[in-house]
Amino acid sequence: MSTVLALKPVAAEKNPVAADGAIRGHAASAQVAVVLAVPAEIRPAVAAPEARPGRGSERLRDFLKAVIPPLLGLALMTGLWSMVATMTGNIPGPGKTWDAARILFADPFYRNGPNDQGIGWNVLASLQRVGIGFGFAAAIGIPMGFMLGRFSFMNRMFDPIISLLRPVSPLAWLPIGLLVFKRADPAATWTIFICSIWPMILNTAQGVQRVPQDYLNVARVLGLPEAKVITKILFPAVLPYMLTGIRLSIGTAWLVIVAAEMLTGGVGIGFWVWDEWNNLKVEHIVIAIFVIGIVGFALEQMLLLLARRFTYENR
Amino acid sequence: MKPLVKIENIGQTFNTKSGKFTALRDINLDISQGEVVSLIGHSGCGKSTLLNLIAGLTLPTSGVLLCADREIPGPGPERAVVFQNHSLLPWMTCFGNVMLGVEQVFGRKEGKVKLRARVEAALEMVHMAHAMHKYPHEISGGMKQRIGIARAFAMEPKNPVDGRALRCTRCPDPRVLAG
Ligand SMILES: Nc1ncnc2c1ncn2[C@@H]1O[C@H](COP(=O)(O)OP(=O)(O)OP(=O)(O)O)[C@@H](O)[C@H]1O
Ligand SMILES: [Mg+2]
Repeated sequence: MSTVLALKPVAAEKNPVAADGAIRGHAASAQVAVVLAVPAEIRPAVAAPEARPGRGSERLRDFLKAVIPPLLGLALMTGLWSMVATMTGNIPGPGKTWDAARILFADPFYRNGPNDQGIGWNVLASLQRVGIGFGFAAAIGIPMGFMLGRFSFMNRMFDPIISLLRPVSPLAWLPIGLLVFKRADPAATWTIFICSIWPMILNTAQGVQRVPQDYLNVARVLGLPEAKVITKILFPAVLPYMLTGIRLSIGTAWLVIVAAEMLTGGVGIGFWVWDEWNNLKVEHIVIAIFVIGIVGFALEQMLLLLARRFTYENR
Repeated sequence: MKPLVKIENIGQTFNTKSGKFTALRDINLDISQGEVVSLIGHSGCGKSTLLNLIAGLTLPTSGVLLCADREIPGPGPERAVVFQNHSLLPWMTCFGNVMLGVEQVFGRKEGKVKLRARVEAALEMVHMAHAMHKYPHEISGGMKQRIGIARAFAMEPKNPVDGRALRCTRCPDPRVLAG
């Protein structure tokens, strides 16, 4: 004997709340009308767990499952760190670093002349350089990526140039920057520009090449003019790739800025690290490592969040 | 009646890695205004290939295709297409997807209110008005097909080219799509 289950959509006008996911079933042969009023977020196949008791404790277990491993990892790192600190003697341990950090972050925004400023100012100065260099890289790299993706002639023309220059450390460009701009500050920004531009160009170009042919066919059938093809189809389709390029660029830019500032001096987290080394304040260097890590992590997470916002499929 | 679309001795060969592949050979077909034509055949026999030619998305390797006595130079809004794999733009709502076509065809002559009314009427025709502010990933496969149909018909084409496998959808308008 077989059972026929007829599923009907609930009329939208009558019950707007249930209209999304609710379905109504009639088990025809059994002569029992089964009404499945399932909330939108739960699919019929997985509706069973609703009946299970103890949802609160389950949630607590999920929470612990998510939180305990990272906490263990951090604890392990702190343990290793204090072990190394006691063994070597000249590297400050977690306790000493914490005390120094408390004093340092009590007043992160002080100014005693150009070479003695709070750590907050140093971080902001570095972020500003990254922002400017990266901004120029985006302004040039994104349109260039579009061109390289759209015209294979351009792609083949620029391919040898990019292949040759991309593996070069951006710091190798620092002297050229100093020569051209005559000042240290724009030279550091220039290295950021150089290291940011490659991922922007390459990812944008790849995005343009990967726009599904289906979408372009839609544009052709609708007869969309080129301007609309760019704004309504190419740009939204390429955006996720572009954001990947931006994320990679910012990541390397944040790596490079520390090294560049060590060489150029001035205000900035990289210079600050070097300055504290000259002052032999090793605990400040350890703090700087954490600050650089946290800022880099925050930048990455921000861009990931942005990327998720603009990913259309499987959202 | 004089045929609107004339297909004369069409042949289509594809260059593949393993040599030439003939998908269509010596196809002749006349379609007059208002006529309903169904192409039936097993999977892979060339239905979509022929529809792509009529749509103007591809050009034939031999033969001619005429629409209103003129050779089909490329795609155009007077030959709307319901794509086999729906091809809705995922960053626009159902309403936006239909509006994109409507705007293109009527945007210059009509005001915003009139355009909206056209889109809503097309969505109503396929019984999708209740979901017009949803995104394509929020609706089912058959519903996507219906939005694709609405997009094609809202442009008031001379002859919509429907490339769907018909089993995909509950046919919303038997007069146009049956068979
Ligand atoms: N671009 C292409 N390059 C090479 N071969 C192709 C190409 N497009 C289609 N073909 C071949 O042409 C034949 C016809 O394809 P077509 O897509 O027209 O089939 P169809 O009748 O629409 O099938 P279905 O009912 O499954 O949609 C198939 O054998 C396919 O492999
Ligand atoms: Mg097909």
